[in-house]
Amino acid sequence: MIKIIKKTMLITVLAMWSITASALDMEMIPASTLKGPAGNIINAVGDLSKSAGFNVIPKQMGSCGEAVDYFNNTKNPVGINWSVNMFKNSAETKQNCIVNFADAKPIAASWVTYDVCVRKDFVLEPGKTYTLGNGKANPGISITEHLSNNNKNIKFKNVTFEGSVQTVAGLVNKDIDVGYIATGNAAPAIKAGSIKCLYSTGSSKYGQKPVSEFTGTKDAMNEFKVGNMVFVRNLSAEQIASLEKSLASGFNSTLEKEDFADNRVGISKEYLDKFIQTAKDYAQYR
Amino acid sequence: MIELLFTMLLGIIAGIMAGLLPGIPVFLGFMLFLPFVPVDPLMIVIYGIVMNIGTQFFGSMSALYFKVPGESSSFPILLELKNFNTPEKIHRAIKLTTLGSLIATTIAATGIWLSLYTNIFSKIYMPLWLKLSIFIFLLILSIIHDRKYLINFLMLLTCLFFVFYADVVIYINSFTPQADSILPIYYFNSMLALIILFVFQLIWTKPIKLQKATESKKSSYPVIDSIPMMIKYSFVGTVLGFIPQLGATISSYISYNWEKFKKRDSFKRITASETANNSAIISCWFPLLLMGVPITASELLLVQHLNKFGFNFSFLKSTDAQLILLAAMLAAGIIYYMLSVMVNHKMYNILGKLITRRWFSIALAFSSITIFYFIDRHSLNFILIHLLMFVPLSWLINKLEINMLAIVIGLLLIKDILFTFQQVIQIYF
Repeated sequence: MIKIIKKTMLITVLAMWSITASALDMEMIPASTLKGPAGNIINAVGDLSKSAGFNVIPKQMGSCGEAVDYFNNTKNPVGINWSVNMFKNSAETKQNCIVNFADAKPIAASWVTYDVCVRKDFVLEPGKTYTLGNGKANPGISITEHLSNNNKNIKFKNVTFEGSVQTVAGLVNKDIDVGYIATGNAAPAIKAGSIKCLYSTGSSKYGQKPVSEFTGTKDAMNEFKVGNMVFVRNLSAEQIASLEKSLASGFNSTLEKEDFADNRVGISKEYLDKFIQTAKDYAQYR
Repeated sequence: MIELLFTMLLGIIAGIMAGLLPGIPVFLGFMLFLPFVPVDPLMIVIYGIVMNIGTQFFGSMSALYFKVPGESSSFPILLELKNFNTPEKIHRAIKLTTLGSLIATTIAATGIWLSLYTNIFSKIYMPLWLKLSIFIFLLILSIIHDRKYLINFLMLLTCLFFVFYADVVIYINSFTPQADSILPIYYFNSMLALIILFVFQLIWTKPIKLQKATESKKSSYPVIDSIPMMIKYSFVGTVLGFIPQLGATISSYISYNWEKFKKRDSFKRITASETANNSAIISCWFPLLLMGVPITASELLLVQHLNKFGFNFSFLKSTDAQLILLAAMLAAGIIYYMLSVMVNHKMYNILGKLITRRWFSIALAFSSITIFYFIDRHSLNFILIHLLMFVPLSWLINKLEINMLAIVIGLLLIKDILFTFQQVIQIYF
């Protein structure tokens, strides 16, 4: 009996090894968190690239430094969703959150607008102080200071969350009063009727007004958007071409439905340089 | 469908092993086959719950057949063993405890499904301060567990070192030019570390010598009239299951002692305890599945595993997923029941021999780590560094007989505790 069990186990393990080892996979890691816009972008790349034979495996790392370290050094096909917040995060955390641009190939980019949201029945009253939830990759202090400088004398207190998805949960759970949430991540809760978004840095799809109407200032943060760029490594030129081709038709439409802006596939040298410059400029935020 | 059947099979094997062997606590059983489970949030949850149910079914089987409690919640059976002195009585005890476990599984599983389906708890939220309180309770529990306060505390500190090693080194290095970095930076993978620590326990631990299984002989004693009592204790266990980490054990002891206080016979006492612990082991999943807050060590491991792939519990909003989860829990209950009742002591002797063999432990240990290697695609270097660090630690843990709870909490929860603490401070102060 034991001999039969032994043999069965051996055959099962060998069969599983062969299946696992023969899979053609590409890990895709966010420099921030999968529980935010980066997760939507990675999922979109995963869904669209299936037709080209890619099996994208989303993988969460502990920090931007760990994610970039893994991306820069692994020998396997790998992708990263890198955002314009990463120069800021490098300076703040003392980690190296900067992708080795010379060795990485950019394939797609997308921008995220942010909304100022409250629970459905919540009213912002002048002269009061409210808690403001923010994803940890965002410049929380700068955003809080910027929103606190408004013509209604409303003050905000920053509360850090893992990402936009958790900020929505914190808002619905009444842990916080206001959330600074990526439009795409706020959308399901808006549609479900549990939250409403009053102001936005670039979207008006759900009746949001421009943030400038709230602050009454002409600060650049009124239009604060986070750019995301997907880089890949360890892929051949043919594989990259095939990946870009698979994204070409659906990347924009898929992400547009999820409230992302300026989505594009095939990144030119000029666009990349401009993107990196924006990231360097964002390092001024805290 | 194949994925589901495969996951169920893994969950059942892990449940039987963790239930039968006293050296394998519930969360170690959970770790054993985790790398083999398909990367799908529903499958991972099903694996976790099916495995947990099995530990309670077979924890009592281990106590009845081998006279060793597979789980801490099965101790009441040991206290009553002297009263089960004939094969017929053993069989009657098995019939009662397994039927009680099946009814408890059915009631608790249906409760979970109804809660998910009706969304009845959607308006109930767990505030951050309560989440933090649960985390701190688990942290304190990990220190005071087994009354080895100092050792447990030192273990927590060791885990802290690994978790924050990279952050500390980066901070120290930031004071020096990049080229003259004082220390190398390593990012430790908590799950890989835990798998190494756990599976090497199987190698360091001397093979447990299970004695020959006690003979059982079919008896025709009716068990139907015990059903109302089983239903009652299913509800007791369902409520007590909300106690973090200790729900199954506490519900088992309370139910047992209540029956003893009422001067009921041994059969009723163990029926009560085994019914209550089974419903508790399922109801402890309520906070996680409905509010995303883990309250046991195996749930913590599950959440960590889900986080790695960016999964959350929103998939449970789909009615299909809810139904599959319910079907898996009920099917697991029925399979465990049939295995427990239909398999006699001869089969247990074979099973006992198999799972206590040295080669079996070593094969399990290495297949777990290699599967993790393939799934996580870390470099061989990365795995070797982890092995170098954590194999000696695993040996030390075994030598000092340190409880693994402190390590699970230290490696998986400490960052969450600090982050939640920071949030609570930001909100309330």
